[in-house]
Amino acid sequence: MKGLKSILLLEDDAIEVKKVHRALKKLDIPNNLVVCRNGVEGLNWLSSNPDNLPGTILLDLSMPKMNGFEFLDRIKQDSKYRKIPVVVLTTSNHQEDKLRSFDKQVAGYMVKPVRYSEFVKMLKTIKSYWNTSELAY
Amino acid sequence: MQILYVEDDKFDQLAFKRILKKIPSISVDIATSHHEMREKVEVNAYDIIIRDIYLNGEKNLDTPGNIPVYFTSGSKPVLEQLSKKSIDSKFLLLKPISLQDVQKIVTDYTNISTEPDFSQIDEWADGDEHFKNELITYYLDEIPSQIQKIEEVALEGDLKKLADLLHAVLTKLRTFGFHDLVNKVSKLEYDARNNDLAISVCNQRLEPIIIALHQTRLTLRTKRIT
Repeated sequence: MKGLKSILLLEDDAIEVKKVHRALKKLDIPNNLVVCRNGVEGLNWLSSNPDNLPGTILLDLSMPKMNGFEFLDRIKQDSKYRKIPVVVLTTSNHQEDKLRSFDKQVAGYMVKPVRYSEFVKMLKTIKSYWNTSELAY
Repeated sequence: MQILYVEDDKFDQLAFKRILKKIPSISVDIATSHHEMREKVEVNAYDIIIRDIYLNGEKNLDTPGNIPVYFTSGSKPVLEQLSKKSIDSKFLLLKPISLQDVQKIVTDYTNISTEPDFSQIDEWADGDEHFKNELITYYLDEIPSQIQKIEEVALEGDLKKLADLLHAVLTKLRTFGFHDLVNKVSKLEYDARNNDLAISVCNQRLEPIIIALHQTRLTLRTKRIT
């Protein structure tokens, strides 16, 4: 949809993708959901869409080819992408992974499978962030 | 998992093999007499024996070795009589053997329950059965290739890759509430990643997990609303 920032989802599990689609639809969030199955695809998409950078990145940590941490390293080193809020969606409940993610300035960390109510809460927070910081990036 | 099925009726043999095709990680061998059963048990390592009580018109309750034996009969009174003779009823199967019977036997063997808990999915579906079915369909479509990759990597002996693949399957298992399986897979993932696990030990622990993963497909199929 023109004028609205897209949401970039990096996820290789079709069930998780389906759930995100559903939550966006139920909450009437009309932003386009772009799905990439790994970090390499995600970086390629970002570099080929410089005028349409996403409003949020939802990032799985365990992916083939380039995992979530490698992807995070790459985008946080790049001034074009640095300010895009990233929410980590992962099966890992390990303290080490949480700390490592927050060290890389992620906006949120959610352990999968995420409960619907928690996911909705996170999306609402992102929406309010968009409303207040449209010029931030 | 290796099953020895002792049965002299060709039709029952075929029907049993057909059921077993639905759980690919189980192999079945057939014997048609007591004598053949004994011979085969001496040279093969079976995990379970399923055997007809009457073979070639002769009643026999032989149980070779320490292998768990399930008795089958087409007659309910015969089984009831055996039940009175202190044979646990879970080891008595009325013919024709059903898929559910086999699933129960397999669950006893793996000691892993594959009964789903849909509370998470129900929250997402919010009464939308079509959505729930779609998620189940995705599961049924994706899990076989994940199982295959796990088996391949285990054969190669690459524990790091195995841990990654087990990790990848965990989200699905948690989503569908296969709690028992989640526990087993998480523990194996952790040990494969962090401990110096011998490949043989790893494969031993993996075998029931693989069987249970196949079982989850059968369980979810029956839960899908058509």
